[in-house]
Amino acid sequence: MPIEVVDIIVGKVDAASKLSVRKTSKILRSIADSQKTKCHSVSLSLYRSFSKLCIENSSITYRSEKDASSKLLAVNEYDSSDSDGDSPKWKPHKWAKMKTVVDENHLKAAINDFSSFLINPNWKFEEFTIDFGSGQGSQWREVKEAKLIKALDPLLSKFQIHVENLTILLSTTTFEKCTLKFHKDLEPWDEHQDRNEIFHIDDIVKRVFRFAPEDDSYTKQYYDEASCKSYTITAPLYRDPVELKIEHEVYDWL
Amino acid sequence: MSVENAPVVDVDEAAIPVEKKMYYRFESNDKKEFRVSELAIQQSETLNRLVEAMGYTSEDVENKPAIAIENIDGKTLKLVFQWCEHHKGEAIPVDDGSVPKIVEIPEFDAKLMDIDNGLLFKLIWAADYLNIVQLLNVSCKKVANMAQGKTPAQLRRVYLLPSDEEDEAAKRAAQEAQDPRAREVEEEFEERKRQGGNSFF
Repeated sequence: MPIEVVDIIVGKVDAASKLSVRKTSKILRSIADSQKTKCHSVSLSLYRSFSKLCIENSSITYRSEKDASSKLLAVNEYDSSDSDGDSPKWKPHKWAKMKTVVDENHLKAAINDFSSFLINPNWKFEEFTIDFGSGQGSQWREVKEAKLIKALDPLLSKFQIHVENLTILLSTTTFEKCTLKFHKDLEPWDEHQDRNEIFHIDDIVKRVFRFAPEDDSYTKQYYDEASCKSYTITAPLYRDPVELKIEHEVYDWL
Repeated sequence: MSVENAPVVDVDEAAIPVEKKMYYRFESNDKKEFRVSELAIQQSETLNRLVEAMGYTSEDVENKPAIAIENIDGKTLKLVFQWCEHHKGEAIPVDDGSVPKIVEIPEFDAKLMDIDNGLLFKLIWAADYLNIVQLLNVSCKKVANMAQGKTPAQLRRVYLLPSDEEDEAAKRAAQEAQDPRAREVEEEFEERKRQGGNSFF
């Protein structure tokens, strides 16, 4: 098959399947990595017994074959997207495509796949979420979080991630160990800061906490006059884990 | 020569309007003949340029031999021209090099491409060769959809892809077949290494 046709085919492969395509051979890896890929949403969830990478409406679950409980956890998922206010209608979550990768070290396998496209400047994301085991017990977090952050830190600190919305779910104890560099259009906190400055998450959270009420979730709007963009930071503080959310929107009337 | 009388479109002479439409005749590499409307040919940049350059009149089309397409067999060409006739008059998409557009496969195209992988491969190759942009788009999309939810090992089976190791081995074998001296040099090098030498220098 002519290489230009292979290029067209790979270009039409959905974002999640590109992870598999790029593992088949050097030439396909080279083609997949050179193409511009825009993702609406990406999330990485790292749990005790399994990890999960969701790209658009496809999901990849990483688990150890021996761990039967992780299989149940990975399959039995529910959502309430059709709920009408007070009466949630829970139903099995339907993924368009669902794949399971069996690996002895599911954390490592998930982070490897995650990093393969995260560091690629041709990939752009609208919504980006990293969940450091928010649904797990605190005991597991204490043991594992440092290890997870250590694995992810080089990725998050060395490379610029092109993202419009970011959500990080983690316990407060991990903030100080992680460094995150934002895209230059996503620095809402201090308009006097130099662009492309590396922000410490610890610093970001302190800024959020400084204004936060003690008993309820916190939301604050920021408006950047220079870029005519508005941002919202939301930090539900009532219980661990803390959610830090940055939303980016452009107003039509501007 | 076997002639497939209007396999793509049924030409009803009585129903042809006063201003006659031009139907070109093409012949596949296995001597199957096809009649294709002028408008349908416009979907193929290659064929459109070819017929323009030939400047055939209606009489020429009937009297001169069918235009030979030597690289494509009759089975594939029939699918190609069926597609062109169905989509004749439609705008041809322009690739501006930005992020790939979302391609939906229409029902007609889905049925047309309900074929085995070997024939689908030939259809894609023909669409590329004849430069039929939208047919190439939908056929590539069909192949791309096959990747959904597959592991790398499953993809290799579906697409008949060699692994990097197999690819390297095939390249080495091809090189050795081309240049027996290269193999001799390599064996000599290995022998010297066994005798304690590191390189030729």
